[in-house]
Amino acid sequence: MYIVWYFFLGGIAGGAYALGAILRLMGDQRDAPVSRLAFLLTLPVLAICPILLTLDLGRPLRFWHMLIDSRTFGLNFKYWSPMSVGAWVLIIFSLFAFVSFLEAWGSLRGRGLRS
Amino acid sequence: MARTVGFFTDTTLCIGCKACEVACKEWNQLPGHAPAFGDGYDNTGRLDEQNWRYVQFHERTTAKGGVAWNMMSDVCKHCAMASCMEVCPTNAIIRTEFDTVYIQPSVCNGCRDCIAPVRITSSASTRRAAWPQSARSATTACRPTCCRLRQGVPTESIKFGDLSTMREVAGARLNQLRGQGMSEARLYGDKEYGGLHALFLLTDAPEAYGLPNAENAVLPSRNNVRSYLGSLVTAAIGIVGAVFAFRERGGKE
Repeated sequence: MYIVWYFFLGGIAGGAYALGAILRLMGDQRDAPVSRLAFLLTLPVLAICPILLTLDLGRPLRFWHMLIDSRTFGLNFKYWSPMSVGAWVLIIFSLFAFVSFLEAWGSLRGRGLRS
Repeated sequence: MARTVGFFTDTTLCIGCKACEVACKEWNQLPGHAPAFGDGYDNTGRLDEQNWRYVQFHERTTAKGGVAWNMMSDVCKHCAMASCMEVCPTNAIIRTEFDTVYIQPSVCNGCRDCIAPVRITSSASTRRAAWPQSARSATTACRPTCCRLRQGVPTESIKFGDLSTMREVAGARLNQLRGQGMSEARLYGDKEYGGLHALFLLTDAPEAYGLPNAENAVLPSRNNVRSYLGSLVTAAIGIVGAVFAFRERGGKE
């Protein structure tokens, strides 16, 4: 039942990123450390999620069939199927999380050099 | 579209011998599970990647207070509007030239998304999806062996052929039974999911056989608008709440 960890970790990643984004966009200087922590937490936690999901497939090596049609090699997206939407959301969220992680990491190092 | 084929399963002729299950396993080279009894005489359990036919034993109380069985040989319905096909994120589930629903074993990655939305309890095609290595076509060009006399059904309870022929045969049988005073006899599969390609002649409400009625037999996308709107409203509440909570901080620095 390791797949329950996906929901746990995915929830942490999503919640952390939402809180981090709110603090970043609407908070002030006092909120910066919490926001940075949230962004630093999101990516490593999120990175575990697709691994768990892929292992849960009957044929893990075919995970890419969710994103790319294996016959036409076109993009495979069905907005009316939550499973298809979920696969794409995971990819797009990962891109945002990656950029935010780099920014938070950079600001952490920058602060470390200054002080 | 070459032709549209279908099953007609007449449950009034079924004696629960399970010969169709055995014939199906022989023809399709399915090893099957070890039989396991639940709380009745049924030892198959459900339609799945091994059981493409499943004789259900539905108990009912008779007018005299006794117990009788409503037997029903269940099978993938090959719905005209198939729930499993709609949700499949890999497009592994396709419609064949015989208008049947088929899971391509080489495309399916076993995500099992097709199993959940199917209200017709445990449709064979959907359970098969979980294990692509054993997925094959149940109804393609050949006449399925479950409905062959001697091998399959000794009482000819299962028939296979062009769907239009099956509709005629089913209609004639329904009229015959009604003429004999079986007012509860009904045909299942005309309206559900845009019309099933496996028709059933039942002697009770569909619910008594674990089948959804015509009102409930609609595609899973019926929930999409409500669910996606629910997510959007939740996100909106979160943003409004954040604006409200941080209204005194006045932006960054």
